[in-house]
Amino acid sequence: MTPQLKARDVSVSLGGATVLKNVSFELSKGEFLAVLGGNGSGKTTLLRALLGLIPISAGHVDIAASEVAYMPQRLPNIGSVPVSVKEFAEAGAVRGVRAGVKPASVQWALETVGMWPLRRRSVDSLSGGQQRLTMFARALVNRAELLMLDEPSAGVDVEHQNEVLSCLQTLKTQNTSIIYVTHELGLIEPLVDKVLVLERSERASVEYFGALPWPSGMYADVHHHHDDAALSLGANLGVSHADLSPLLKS
Amino acid sequence: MELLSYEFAQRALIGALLIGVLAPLVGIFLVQRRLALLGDGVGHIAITGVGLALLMSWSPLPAALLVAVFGALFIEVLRDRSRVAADVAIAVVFYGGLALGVLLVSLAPGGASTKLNTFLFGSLSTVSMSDLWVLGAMTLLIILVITFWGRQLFVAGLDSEVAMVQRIPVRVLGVVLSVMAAATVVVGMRVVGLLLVSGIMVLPVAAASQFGKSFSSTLGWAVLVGVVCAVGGLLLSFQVDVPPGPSIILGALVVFILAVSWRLVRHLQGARA
Repeated sequence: MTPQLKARDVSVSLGGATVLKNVSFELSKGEFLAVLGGNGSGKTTLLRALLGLIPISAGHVDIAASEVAYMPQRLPNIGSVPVSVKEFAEAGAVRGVRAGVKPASVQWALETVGMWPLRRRSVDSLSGGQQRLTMFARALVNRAELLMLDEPSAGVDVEHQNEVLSCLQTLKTQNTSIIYVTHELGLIEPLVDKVLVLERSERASVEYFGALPWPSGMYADVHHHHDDAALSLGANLGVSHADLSPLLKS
Repeated sequence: MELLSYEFAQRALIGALLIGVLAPLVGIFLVQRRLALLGDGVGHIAITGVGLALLMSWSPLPAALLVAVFGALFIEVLRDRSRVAADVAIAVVFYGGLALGVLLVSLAPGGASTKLNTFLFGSLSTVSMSDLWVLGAMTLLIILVITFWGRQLFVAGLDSEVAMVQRIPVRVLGVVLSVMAAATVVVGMRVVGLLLVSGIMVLPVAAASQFGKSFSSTLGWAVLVGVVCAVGGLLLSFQVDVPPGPSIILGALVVFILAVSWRLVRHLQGARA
């Protein structure tokens, strides 16, 4: 079967510095790829390069999917003129020079993320989490075959995170391919088919690409990072190691 | 209001009505992209066009339109294809246009400076019938463009990268918007004046943004404010015999201050409750 997306030896240089080097992977229909890596490892750059928003310095990208939707990490500048939640979601349905907004799709997308009751509110009056849900709804509205999501659930409360994940699960069963950029697997682990771990390196940017579970050594390492993060957060909140133990993986 | 029985006054009134509708319609897309001062830059380079026309005894309207479109495209290219920031690109055109315009007028035959004044601050008596046909055609064309591509312009202004992913021709639309801004400046040149025309593109949108909750409702309110201020300001200038540009812009400024005050009061009431 032809993959929905195929990246071969993709390298990206920005301002003279190599940000990504020799990234290769494939994504088939209905597959869920988690892109992991620390700050500055090039996760967002990879998405933008795949989408053609920044030039690649080597390699090539083939996208077979006819419709692609993108949810960027940051909310665009909307403070100057008010934009309602409904208008923001509708923006996801405009393709090329055709208008073609389907009201039922907009309502479905906003209901899916629980934002339909707030559709008349101005986006700049929402909380950070609600703004991300609205951005997620915009990415959903055209029911694209390939979704590229850059940290979609950052700042979103657990209840709505579950709604996002349940929606992604449904889309996956409907053959939507999903690339999900995140700092840690956390709640998305059950959905993940493949993982691409990026690292800053002179040799190659890909630390690991493959299916879960992790190779044994790496698995422990990732859990170790998870536990470190949980302990650090607990220390900041004044929560003891004993209280955190149900959350720790190793 | 006896003045309104004169043809020149009726022509000025139609000119004011056209710019009242058109300026906020184009201005809202500029404000959305944080290019509120683009009209100002284009207005200043249009002075070069007027100066050239006065020097060569050409018709000012086509000369101003041509130079304004060139200036708007130059800003767009600088902004999009170089490391020059948008505000700097606008400033370059602003100062260059004003300097060259004043230079050309000073080289023109006697009386050109007085004529230039009517283009800078608007005039009640300079709107000719042929001007009105050109202004009407440009207004109609811009309204058609916004009717067909308004949604794309909105999406590109909201988030250019997402718009590119959705195969919206973001660069082409940037050029189209620049040309529309230049045409709007020229439509407003006769009634509001080149130095103030940017005000009627920005102030009604800034006022409407205080009470609109969506882009479409803000657009509706902005056009209403634009028409009321353009026509009201023109009628006031008939009454007190001042150039129409300043009275139109001061009217829009009053509406803006009232809108900001209303929002501030609501905010304070909300904070107390």
